[in-house]
Amino acid sequence: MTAIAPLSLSPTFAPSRRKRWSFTFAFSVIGTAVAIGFVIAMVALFAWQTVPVLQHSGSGYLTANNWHYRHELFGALSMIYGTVAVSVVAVAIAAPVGIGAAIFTSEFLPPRVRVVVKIIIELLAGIPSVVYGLIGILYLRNFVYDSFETFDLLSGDTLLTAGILLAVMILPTVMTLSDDALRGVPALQRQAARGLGLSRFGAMLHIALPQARVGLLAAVLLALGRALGEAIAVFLVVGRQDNHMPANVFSLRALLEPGQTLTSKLGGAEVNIAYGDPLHWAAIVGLGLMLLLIAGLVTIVGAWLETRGSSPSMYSGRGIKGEGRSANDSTLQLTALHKEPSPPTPSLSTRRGRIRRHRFIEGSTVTAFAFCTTIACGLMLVLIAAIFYRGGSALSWRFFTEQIRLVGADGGIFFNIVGTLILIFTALVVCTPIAMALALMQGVYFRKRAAQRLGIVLYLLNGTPSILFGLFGLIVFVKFFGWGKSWLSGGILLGIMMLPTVTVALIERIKVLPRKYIEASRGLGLSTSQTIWSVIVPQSRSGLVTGSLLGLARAAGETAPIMFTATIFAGAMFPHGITESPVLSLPYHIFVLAQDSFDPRVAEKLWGTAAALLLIVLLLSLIALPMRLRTHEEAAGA
Amino acid sequence: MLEIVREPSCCATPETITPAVLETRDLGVSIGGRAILRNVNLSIRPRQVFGIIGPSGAGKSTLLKCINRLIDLTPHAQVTGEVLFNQQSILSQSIHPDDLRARIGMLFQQPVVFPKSTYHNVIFGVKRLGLVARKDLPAAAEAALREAALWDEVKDRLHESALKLSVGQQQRLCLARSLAMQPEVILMDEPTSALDPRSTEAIEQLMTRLKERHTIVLVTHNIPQARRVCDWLACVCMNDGVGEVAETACCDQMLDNPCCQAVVEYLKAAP
Repeated sequence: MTAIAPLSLSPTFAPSRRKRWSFTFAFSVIGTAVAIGFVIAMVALFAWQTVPVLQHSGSGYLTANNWHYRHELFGALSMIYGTVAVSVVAVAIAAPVGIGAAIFTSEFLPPRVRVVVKIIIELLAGIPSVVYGLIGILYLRNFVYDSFETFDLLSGDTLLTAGILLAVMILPTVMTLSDDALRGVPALQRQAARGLGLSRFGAMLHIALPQARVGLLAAVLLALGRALGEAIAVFLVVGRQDNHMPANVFSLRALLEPGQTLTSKLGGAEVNIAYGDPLHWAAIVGLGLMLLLIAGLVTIVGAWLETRGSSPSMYSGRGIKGEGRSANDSTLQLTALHKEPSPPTPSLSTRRGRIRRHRFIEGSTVTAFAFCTTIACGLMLVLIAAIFYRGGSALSWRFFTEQIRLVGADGGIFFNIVGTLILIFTALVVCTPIAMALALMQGVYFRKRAAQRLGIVLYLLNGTPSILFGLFGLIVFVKFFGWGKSWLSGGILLGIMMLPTVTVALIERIKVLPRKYIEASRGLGLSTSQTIWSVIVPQSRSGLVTGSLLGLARAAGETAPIMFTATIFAGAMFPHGITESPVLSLPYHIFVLAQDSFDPRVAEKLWGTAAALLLIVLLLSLIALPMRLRTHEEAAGA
Repeated sequence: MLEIVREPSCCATPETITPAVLETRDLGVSIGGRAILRNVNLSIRPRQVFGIIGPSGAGKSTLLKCINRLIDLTPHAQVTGEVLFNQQSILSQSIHPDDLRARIGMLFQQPVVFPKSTYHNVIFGVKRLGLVARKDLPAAAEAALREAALWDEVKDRLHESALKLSVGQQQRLCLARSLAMQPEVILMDEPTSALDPRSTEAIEQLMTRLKERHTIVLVTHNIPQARRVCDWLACVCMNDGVGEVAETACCDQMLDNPCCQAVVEYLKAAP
């Protein structure tokens, strides 16, 4: 037997310092500063670079419809009009369908089916925009051309085509966020309404919808932000005709004409021409600034409503006419009301015609909602089936292992895959530490108010049009740093783009961590940073993994941020060094081939590339989605 | 079967007095394949407070939810047997559960008020279902609030948010919301478990008053409360992991002189 050593208690505790700058805290602060700094730098840079054109054109820059850069005329009205028109069309289609589908999914579907629908919708959201553009070019614009034959269209490239395509693209955003808003209404409230004899439909209409309406509005606004900023798909189908304003804006005819949007202008070749001329360049960056301000404003309002909508809404009292009178009258009627309850009616099944009519209306509305859900899920299946049907024949071992030949008509996409992998792994390396810093700041260090503000920064980053990342990279990395086209700038830009996805996944994971773990750790005397590294970080690993996978899926499909900064169409292999070392990539390959090739051999390769890109994206998403959705639902309930 | 310690002695058999307003016959419930309740045979007289007691998790709330078919909202729940409301089977297709719920009110453990004004909470059901003409709504609201003994406390702030009321007031507001529908039966699922003693007393007094006009089915954990307000009791106990009705008897008989071993043990353990 060994003697037990007597416990030695130190007579005093170490003096507590008021605020300790631990490594972890510094790390979080720096990461957060980088993210916020990026947003500020982007706005400031764009504003600064725009000044020359404002001095030159004044308000005409916004109100004139004459963009002739050779004559130094810069009036962007037609582009503003184009952006507004396509976004309005998109939201007008996507909002009712998306909200209807969300209502059906959230209120009427059994939980298991709901999960399947949600996964399908998230996959739909993950399809790269260049693939949507491809679908638009090869199917949708013919469809529009044929459907509106009576209008004698010049081509199928119209504002309407872009609007419809955008509607499909933002449908998942509307649906997912609306579903979140509806799920945010406590189940007990519905149960209480059902207990009063309201139908499922009645409980939805009178309980869930009114309480979720702010969230639904937020969903539509955030989707609108997306629509405003989408570049690549719109670029491919909008017609890109400068200075085209319709005679009558409020006619269907106006939508059936080709146009130009802010984003399609920024995606075009003029950006490369413009850089030499300060004035022209200012005019181009000004378009970016406009886009940033419009999309940013819509997103901030949407995000603000979204965060507000999730807190219990207080009823604002509103007087009712005849209140005083009713109190007097009621005494007379009290006796009438207070008589014995009417004897039980012989049969409960006797219903009045009014109720029956109600139920008919309810039934048809629910059917309509179900139809919306079917459309949303069906779209996904049709899109994937179409791409694999057209591209399946191109997929072969040679296709994946050979390099491109004959301007895409022959050979394979080996170096495109390599390039895309290099880009997304760089992005992952850039993104992970910043995302962790942001998540720790948001989930551990920040109190409610500050956390809400940081949340809005994340929304803003998420809502920033991807083409603007490209523009920012072009100014800073390509020109200012003198890197030329480089894989590194593409990786950094993609890393910042996927930041919100990863961060939100991490934050939600931290949110669902049982408090008792943290309390137990703190109860043992561990400091905040020790708790972070021993409890929070290991426990939220799954959030990091799922978030990263989804972020990577998004980054893999992005074209806009890398087209000016990192990729070329042909002639690059493995990069060496940083300066002037571009890579090939899958989305840019599709983007280029889709624009100007009707060679059937190219078409086969084109669809094959789309199928390959889609495979990567869907694979990454499918691994992550089930777990991600579970965490998301728990976090929403917490 | 549950072990019987002795034969029941007293209590006039209820069947002889008045026809039952609610009856269950061989009612069984399983959720996702797991049996929760079986062989439930109850007969509930009108204008009584019928108490259901028993240990936690024995399926008392589930039983209550079967009576107004709120159980339909639980995923994967299966109900067998019969529930008769005024001699009519409510589990049959011919009855719409929404119609049924409009006539069988329910009060939950936690008061669930809607984020609306007090006034709009009270008239929520009658307005949405069109049971009262629009011009009579204020009168109906007042009548229901008076019946729930809440009128004097809220009459000056009818149009303020109901969320500002105290929890006890909120529970009475929920009761008023049910009463406005003129229900024949009110189901109460531990209505006082979230309330302080004074609010509890108010609700109990209400129950004794309300039974003049309504039938109340009360699930409670609180034995003294059962003694104070109930006329008739059923004890639901676990047998092989499934809830069964161990015993039904009039209130005093059950609490002072239980017949079934499981009830004896439950009462001994209960405060």
